Amino acid sequence: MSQINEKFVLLYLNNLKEKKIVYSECQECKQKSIPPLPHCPSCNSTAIELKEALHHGSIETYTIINIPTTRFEKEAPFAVGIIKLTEGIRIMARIHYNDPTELKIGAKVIAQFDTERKDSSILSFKLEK
Amino acid sequence: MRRVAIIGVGLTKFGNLGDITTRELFYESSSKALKDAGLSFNDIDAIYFGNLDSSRFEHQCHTAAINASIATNRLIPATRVEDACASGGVAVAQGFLSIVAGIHDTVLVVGAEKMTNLPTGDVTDVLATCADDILEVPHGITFPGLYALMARAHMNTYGTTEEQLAMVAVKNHKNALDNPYAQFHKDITIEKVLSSLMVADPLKIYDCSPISDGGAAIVLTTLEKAEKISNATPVEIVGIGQSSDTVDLASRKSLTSIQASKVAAERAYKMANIKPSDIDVAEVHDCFTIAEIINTEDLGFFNPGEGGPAVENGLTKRDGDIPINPSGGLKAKGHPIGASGVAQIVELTHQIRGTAGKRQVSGVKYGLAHNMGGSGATAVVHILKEVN
Repeated sequence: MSQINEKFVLLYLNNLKEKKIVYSECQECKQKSIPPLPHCPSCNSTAIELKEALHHGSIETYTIINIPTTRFEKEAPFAVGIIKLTEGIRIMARIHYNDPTELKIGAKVIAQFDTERKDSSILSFKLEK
Repeated sequence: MRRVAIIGVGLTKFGNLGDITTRELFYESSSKALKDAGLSFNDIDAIYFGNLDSSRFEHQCHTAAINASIATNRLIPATRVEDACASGGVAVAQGFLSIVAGIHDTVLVVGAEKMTNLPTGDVTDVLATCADDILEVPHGITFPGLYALMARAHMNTYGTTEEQLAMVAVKNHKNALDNPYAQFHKDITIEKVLSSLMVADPLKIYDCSPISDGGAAIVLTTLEKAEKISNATPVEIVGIGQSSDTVDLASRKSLTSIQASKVAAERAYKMANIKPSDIDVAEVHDCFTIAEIINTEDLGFFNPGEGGPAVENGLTKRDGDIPINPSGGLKAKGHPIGASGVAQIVELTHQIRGTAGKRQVSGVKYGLAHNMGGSGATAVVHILKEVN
């Protein structure tokens, strides 16, 4: 029986507020999903478990946004990347840096949560020294 | 299965067209297509209309009905199709399917977009709705940003270079010089691309397709009827393939290959019973230079990682092994979102008929159109063939 009900987006976002990155894992085929889903999109099973990811990962790819959307006008330039978490699942997030040369594919990163942020994502990553 | 032919094609100019509305873009492009077919609005059984977001650009939703009643009072079925930048191509597929199913005989498929009336920041916001609003947009990603992420990964995995990306833009600009409908008639150099403003590292302004207004239309009917009702040279649609994938890039199987393009192409090749090497010319979705390189690999024209060297070696030029985007592509022809997928079919129809003028590729029997939505969440492929 699935541990996740229909309100899976709310589940995901509320957990970010609690400084948790949650994902679903299919107990039959091990497919992982963010946001967590009530069924497995790979094998259709409902044997779904809700899990919490460690806050560690590495950079799979990144870019520095020079021309942002209107909403993020005041913040450019900033880096956005795709992070591969320890559990193998990937997630998109902002990556904080001091110098652009610090951004490298394979660089280790650690999650941080800015729970006061209303206008953009609570979740971002910083480079692990 | 009923066979489907294209018997009329029409385009408006693409670019900043000033004070013009989407319904006028519909009217101009479809009038031209009907004239090409030797038919009138009275001969059309249904309309499929590809359009991303007139509701934001012009505060006008429900656009298929607006267009249909300008066309005719016969209360014909009219459907708007939205699949991000694949809206036009998917509208073509819907028109095709309705004929194959025997529901309609003669169908008008139009794609149009009016984008230049909003400030660039607002246009970027509208385009961002084609990304994932929960998983991507809140981090500040943009469309160039999504493709920049793929570019960085492709460069890291295969050694693709920024120069090779620039060569795609140079090629497409050169091709567009011979396209009277193209937005840009501007020969550019690799240096110009490399020195242009960085938008999302490593993609620069000249790596990105522009914001454009424009409309494109085609008339479809059964192959059997084509010869009876029209003097135009018919071109047959012999294969279609469509696919979806996760909108959010992080959840995809690969960051260097677009699975939706691959699968859509495989489905189309299977229906047409041909291989990638049978294709003589292709219009491929080059919303960004890296997209053309990755898609030519996923469409089976080159092995993974060889798309960059292929451009460098001239294989995709108009006189190359597999000409890609003889029209100038989205990059130089323009990318009025809903129109692009239909405009690709217009170009291929001319190429197969032999009416492409200075853009003509020699010996065209099979053409392939590849239209994609978002960062690869929708892909639709059409294979066109000359009628013997």
